[in-house]
Amino acid sequence: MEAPPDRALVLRTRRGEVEAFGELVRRYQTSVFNVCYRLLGERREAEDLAQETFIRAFQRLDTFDAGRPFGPWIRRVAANLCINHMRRNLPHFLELDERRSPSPADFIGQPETDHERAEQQTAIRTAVLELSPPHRAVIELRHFQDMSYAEIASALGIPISQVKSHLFRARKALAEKLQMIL
Amino acid sequence: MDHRHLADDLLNEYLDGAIGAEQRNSIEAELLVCSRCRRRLDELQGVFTVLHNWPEIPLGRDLAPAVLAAVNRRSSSWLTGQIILVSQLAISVALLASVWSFLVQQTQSIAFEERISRVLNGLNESLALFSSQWATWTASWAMLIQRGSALARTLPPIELPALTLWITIGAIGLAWLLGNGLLLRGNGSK
Repeated sequence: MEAPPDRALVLRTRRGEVEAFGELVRRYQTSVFNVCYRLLGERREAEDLAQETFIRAFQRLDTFDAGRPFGPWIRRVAANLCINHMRRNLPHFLELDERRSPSPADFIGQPETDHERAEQQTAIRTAVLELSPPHRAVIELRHFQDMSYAEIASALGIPISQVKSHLFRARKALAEKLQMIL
Repeated sequence: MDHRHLADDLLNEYLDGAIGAEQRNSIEAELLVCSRCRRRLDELQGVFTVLHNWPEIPLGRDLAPAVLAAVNRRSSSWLTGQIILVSQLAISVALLASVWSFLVQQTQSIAFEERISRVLNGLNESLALFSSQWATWTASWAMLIQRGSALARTLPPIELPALTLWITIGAIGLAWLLGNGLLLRGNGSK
């Protein structure tokens, strides 16, 4: 049997079929978790925020235009939620430049069928997660949420010039870290 | 001849599609003749590609059961809040309607200006009476606290006219509706 499209699940949820929303959660939980993980850099925290993202999305489902794709919308909800979370817990997170190395436990559970490929993937994840919080935020919003400079500035509450500066420095740092695979 | 290479900032904006057509054309012209600029652009483009191919990290658990449980829990508390709010609204509207019909009955047979004047005078008198009775009450309560419960019997009886009584009930109802309505709305949005 063919799986129902997202739109049908959204409409069924709006009619009160909560189980249909469960199916949407299963479809998008990994990508939503990855948004949170890229922004927060902590697996446990990312899982909690991913869960909260779906709860918020359920409460605001009436504001979602069912004619548009569900994936980008839910990922945008996740990004906003995580940024607000970072802002609450690290009030000056946009000014910080502290680096954090992800723990080896962060990558547990990876199927490593191709050793070289797995190493490359780990290098990419590590490079992104080692960026400072403001750099991770702009990378997430520009590359994964496809937001314009103005939209990022508005989401983070900073001037466009600062968005550009964070973004360019983040890319420069990534280029240096990933020299061997670029 | 001195050659100025394209700045990183400009290349970033070029890749982001954040520059105008004219500037884009001039950058593309420069890229055709400057191999170092092309190399730098390729490096930056590589970062874009790497990010585009982000290797997703698998989730350790299924979030759906916890999400559905939370959603059901919050829906039921939201429904309870709505029922309470609607009940409060109905009671308050009934109270205010009673006050309104009382006022209309009192002033039906007279001109509009006179009606307004009477209502305002009535309100004024009622407030003055209420204020004086309130002062008496608080003084008596202060005495009661000082002298003990035996003085409770000396409290003056309430002699509020019907208009004052209804206006007081109406005002309390309105305050109750606004206060609780705002509180419940705050709870619902969490």
